[in-house]
Amino acid sequence: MFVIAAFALLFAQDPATLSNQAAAAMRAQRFPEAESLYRKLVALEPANPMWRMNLGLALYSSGQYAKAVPELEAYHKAKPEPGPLHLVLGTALLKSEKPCPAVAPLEVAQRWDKERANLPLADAYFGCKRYALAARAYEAAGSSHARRAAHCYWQARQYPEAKRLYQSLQATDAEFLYEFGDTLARTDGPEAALPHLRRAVETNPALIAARGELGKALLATGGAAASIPHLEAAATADPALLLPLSRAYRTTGRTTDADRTQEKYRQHMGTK
Amino acid sequence: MLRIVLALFAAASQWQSIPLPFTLATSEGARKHLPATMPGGIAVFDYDGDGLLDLFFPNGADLPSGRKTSPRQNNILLHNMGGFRFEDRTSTAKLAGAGYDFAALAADYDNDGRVDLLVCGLRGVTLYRNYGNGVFEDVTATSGIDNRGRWSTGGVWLDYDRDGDLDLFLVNYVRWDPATEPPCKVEGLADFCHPRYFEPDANALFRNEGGGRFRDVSIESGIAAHKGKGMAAASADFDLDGYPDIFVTNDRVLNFFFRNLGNGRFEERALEWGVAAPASGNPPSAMGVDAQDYDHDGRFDLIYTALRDETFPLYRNRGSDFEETGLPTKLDLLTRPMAGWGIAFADLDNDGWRDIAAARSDVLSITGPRGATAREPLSWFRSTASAKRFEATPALPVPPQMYRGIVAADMNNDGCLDLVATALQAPVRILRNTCRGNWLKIAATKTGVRVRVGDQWGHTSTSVGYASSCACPLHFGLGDAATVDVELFEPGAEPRRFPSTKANQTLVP
Repeated sequence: MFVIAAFALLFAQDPATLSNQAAAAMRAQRFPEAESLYRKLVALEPANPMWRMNLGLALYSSGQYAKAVPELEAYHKAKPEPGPLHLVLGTALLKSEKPCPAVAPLEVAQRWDKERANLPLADAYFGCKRYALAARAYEAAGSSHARRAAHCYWQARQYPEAKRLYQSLQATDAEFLYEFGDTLARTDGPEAALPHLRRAVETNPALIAARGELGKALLATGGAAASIPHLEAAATADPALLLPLSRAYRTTGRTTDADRTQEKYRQHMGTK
Repeated sequence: MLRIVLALFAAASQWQSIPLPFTLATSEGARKHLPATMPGGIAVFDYDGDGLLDLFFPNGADLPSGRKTSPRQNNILLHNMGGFRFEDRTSTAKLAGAGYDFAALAADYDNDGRVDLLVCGLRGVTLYRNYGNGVFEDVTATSGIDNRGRWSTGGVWLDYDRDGDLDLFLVNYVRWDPATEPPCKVEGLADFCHPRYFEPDANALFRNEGGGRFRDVSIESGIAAHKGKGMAAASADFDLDGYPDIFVTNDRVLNFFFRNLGNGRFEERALEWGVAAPASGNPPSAMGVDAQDYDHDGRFDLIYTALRDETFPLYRNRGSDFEETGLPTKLDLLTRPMAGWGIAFADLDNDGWRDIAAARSDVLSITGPRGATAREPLSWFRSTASAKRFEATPALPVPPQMYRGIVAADMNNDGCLDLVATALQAPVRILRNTCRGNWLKIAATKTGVRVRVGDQWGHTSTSVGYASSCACPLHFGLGDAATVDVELFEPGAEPRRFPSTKANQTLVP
């Protein structure tokens, strides 16, 4: 009996058998079982990077992205040549909320598989605040991502490109109207921006950034009195707006308020 | 359509690009030391009195030591031989320098009729006295000008106390110490640090006591009470009270407007005068600055450069404050996508209205993540419709580079203002201008003189743009006018009138 049991254990730990069992588990989408088998293979043959890659794939497939990353990285370290696994590694990093480290493998993946890599690469750039690159990658990922691309061009201060995309979109939510209006203020001037900014604030009066931009646009187009409530609201979040607010007060004859606000601005900006 | 095409062709063919045998050495390496992105000043002045304007360029040095260790790091003096040929006279003139230098301020501080030179550097400034025999002498030690090792990016010569000799205002940038400079990154790659990583510094004022001696009056004048991150300064009598005032651009902190009280003291009134920051309230990366009258109302206006999305703010002087006019003149929309350094009001087409020339490029490194778009061309914005608008002109025939300094000066005495521009790690260029239209130049020897030519106004000041100066005749385009009435207003003196002055000459009052 003991001999039979020992033989069975030995047979079960044979790498070829384990590998077959693990592959079968992967095909059947029994990922926890595949993970367990690949862990055994890694323990048996720690120098074989294939087992770590497969373990990484099993973990990735069961949604354990953060755990998959070190296994996939170990494989890439041993076999750094470019290949489709860069997409898996990049995506695993991205899903583990590590967008900046995800950029490099996804850039490699994009050279191999543009169609599937463009979107995660765009997300990685976006998460890493590399907005200009994100915008181009979202645009390349297709027209359904135009809104994201426009937002990224706006973040990257590439206003003509942002304007081109915003104009092609039909959204009516406050964030969209604010970003479109802010873009138009920079490409066409405050007059052109006013309708969008007004609608943004009407749609969501709590969108403070939109109120700040609307206040500035109103002030620049002769609407000092109308600008004041918006600038007052927005200046609580952005002290730079104390300067246009003080000018609005002064223009409307509220000299005491203007002086007080200007002094507050000076203190915030730290010149004294 | 044909007219537009012909106009574009005429404008494009107005310029000829001439590279000069000098390339700025910045010592930019893998470690992005802040000084490496800051060089590029120019001094244009006739150092030998032969009637042709010569060129001086301050140059970099090793970093972080700030010491010159190679001849290619020398500051350079190029003697104008005529016909846009230049000869290196640095060695004879003894102007090679020793440290990391940024700016050059040319002016005759000792009233001997010869233009002297002050060079602003990373660890202080150097005053060179022009002996008139082609040789300069470093007189810093005996002059009393001691910037106490501070990093100066420029300044302006002015007679703030109206005693007849030039005093010196120095713009100081930030306190930079390589030992504490952090290794900054932009989008994961090494790049130059934002100015917020460095402590601000105060500017300095030195009073000319005569006899080649200066006295530091920074504290008693009120200048030292204000710390900023100074990039450049422009001086003019902005409030027309007879005393020159000073505007200082600061990098991402509020600008300074030092109003001269006439009693040896200045008051800082940038907020009250509307020039502390643009209407948005966000202090921009204010860079080079120029002050002239662009709208013919007799008051001196301001323009300065900044980085992308900050515009090149333009301010119209209303006598007791400034009005931001970037929106109505369209300059805001034109310049919003641009980053700039040097800037100059200059009538480049001799039509009688001052245009704007700008040296453009980003502050970030060409090796950084935004390097692909860091280089930009030179720009010329033409004044139209009686200065109510500025329009973009066809790109000047130069490749995009990391342009820094720009000076408009008539290098071949043909009455057209040429452009001299520096760029990091690229040859210095002259853009030869073959404009049409009549002109008049006023060879006023003193700074701070207001000049009326017909309905145009100008003032004599040598500082211009970023880190640069031009001890040059004051230039006016006259359009078709063959004669013009000229008046000179020197502080404390009766106006001098030159009625029906003929065009196309240099008036020596």
